[in-house]
Amino acid sequence: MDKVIFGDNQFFGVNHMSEQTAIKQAQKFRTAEDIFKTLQFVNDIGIKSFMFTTHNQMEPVLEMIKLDPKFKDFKLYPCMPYAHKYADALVELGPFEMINKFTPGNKFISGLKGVGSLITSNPIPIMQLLVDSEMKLLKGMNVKGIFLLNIITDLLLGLEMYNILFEFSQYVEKKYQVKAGFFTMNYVKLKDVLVNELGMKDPIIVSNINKIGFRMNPSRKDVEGALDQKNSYNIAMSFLASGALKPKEATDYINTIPHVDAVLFGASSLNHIKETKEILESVFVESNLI
Amino acid sequence: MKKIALIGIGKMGMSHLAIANQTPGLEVVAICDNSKQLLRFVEKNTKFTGYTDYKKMIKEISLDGIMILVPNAFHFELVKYCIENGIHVFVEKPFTLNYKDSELLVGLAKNLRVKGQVGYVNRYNPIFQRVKKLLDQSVIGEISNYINSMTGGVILQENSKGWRNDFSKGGGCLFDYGPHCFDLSTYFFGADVKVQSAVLKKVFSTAVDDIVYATLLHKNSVIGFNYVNWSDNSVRKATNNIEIFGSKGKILASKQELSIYLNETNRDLKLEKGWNQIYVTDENTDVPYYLRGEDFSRQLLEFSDLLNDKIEEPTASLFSASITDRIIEEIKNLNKSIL
Repeated sequence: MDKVIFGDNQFFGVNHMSEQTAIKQAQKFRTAEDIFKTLQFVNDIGIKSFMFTTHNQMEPVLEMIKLDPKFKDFKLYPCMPYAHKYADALVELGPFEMINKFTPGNKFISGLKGVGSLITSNPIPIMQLLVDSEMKLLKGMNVKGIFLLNIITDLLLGLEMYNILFEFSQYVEKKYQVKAGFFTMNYVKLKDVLVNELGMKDPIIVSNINKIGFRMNPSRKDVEGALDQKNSYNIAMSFLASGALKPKEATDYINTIPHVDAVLFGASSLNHIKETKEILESVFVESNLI
Repeated sequence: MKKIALIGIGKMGMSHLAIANQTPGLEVVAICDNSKQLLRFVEKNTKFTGYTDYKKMIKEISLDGIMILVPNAFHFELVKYCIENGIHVFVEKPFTLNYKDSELLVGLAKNLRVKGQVGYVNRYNPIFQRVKKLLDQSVIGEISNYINSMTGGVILQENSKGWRNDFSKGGGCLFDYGPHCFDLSTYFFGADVKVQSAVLKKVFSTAVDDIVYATLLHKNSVIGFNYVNWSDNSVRKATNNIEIFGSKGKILASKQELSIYLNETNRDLKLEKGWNQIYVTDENTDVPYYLRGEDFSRQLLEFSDLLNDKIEEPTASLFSASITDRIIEEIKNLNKSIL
């Protein structure tokens, strides 16, 4: 995987620090063209990996990427389920209402899989159904990994339904021949489960890693301690802490932490994207090459 | 380790279950829901025991606490039953649907020495807790007035059916968003409060309100304008904004950020004259387990402290929640019809 990965929060009005910033960003990215233009810039300056939630608004953008030969070596890392749609439904409605909400209208076979899953109370077929329905969007595209969003990873972690995490990873690797990854807000707990309970080898984990310890649960110290052991592939997100840190100090911190394998970042202005990428490359990537 | 059970695994129940299961000091032993399908699923895939009858559950297993997450109209009956059986309770907001019931439960809990907490999650937000601290330290001097608003997109098209369009079942913006807004007002400015004036207005609903305007008077001196609207399509999720005016400056706050304007420099707190900015990233937001924001995790950490006798009263107590129910009732009484 590349060391520098571009993210998508800025496209959808998500900012953990300021509602006003989020509103400004939402205004900046009104159309698929607005998003695509930024991705063209990202691709042009040599960031070749893009991690995104399979949001409705991404659909036309993916079409544009598909048609543009310049994006041939551009790697896609979809994160699911679709922009918290199923996840929110699961948390808000519970699993049954969620299936009722999403399976009707789907094909007969999907319905059967869902209903069969209900009768046997086995959630695995539902998980597979959701992955397949998300992946339809990306048919024939350069997908290099499939990631589970933190709302679901952490819910399953909290309920101790660990087998679904394992089955997700198995399914993705078998059916789509790519690595599975997990977003989490609970790095220490998740890594312990994936590695020690489920016996997964070097699982890919995306979690907050930043100088001020923002959303590094249960604490920055514990996360740093767990990062000391090399038994997972670690991607740092929120390394700029939603803008609380300047790229240079943020990168310097990342550099002091062993076993940060890649950095996922987003920014709305082209200047910020370029500046962050260059700093990451000169400090973080350089030192990792040695 | 205190043994607890959850009743009602609908709406927020699943995330409460996950958070409670990961909260130090709490051990979730059972869940109760009237959906057999759900119970079968939970029993097959998790370690929790399922019940469809809460009375049977309470009889069969020894419990220290119960989380009541059922529809609002059933809060009173279930909380009362738990208190009478000596079981500490956490109940989702609003406490009950009328003040008399809430008042009765506050008295009952006190007499039977049962502890209780209500799901007013804003009281566990790091920024709002900072605001409360700043107010307690009189950083902006004597408070004269405030504007408190809560908006979100719950009802965005005609609402003529179901519980959301029925006051008796806890529908309407006044009963749904209202409690969070008024509870934040009493958290900041005190429970010695009365409603001075109020208006309820319909937009998409046919039998309940979608917009609430209410003026509250606290301690006969602080006047506050409360605006609640659950038909605002422009916000991504429920949004609270509060502006507080004091003799030495003012505070503007939301769940993520806080601005303080001071007439003079405050050296003790390192706050400059003029505008100062505090973000949620400046606060300590560490929690043992995170699912839907630290506020939800911190809320249950406090429930754990309550059950483990580390505290006597929670930040969101039965009493403070009963005052919120009184405010809602006063607003409703002032509006025999909806505009």
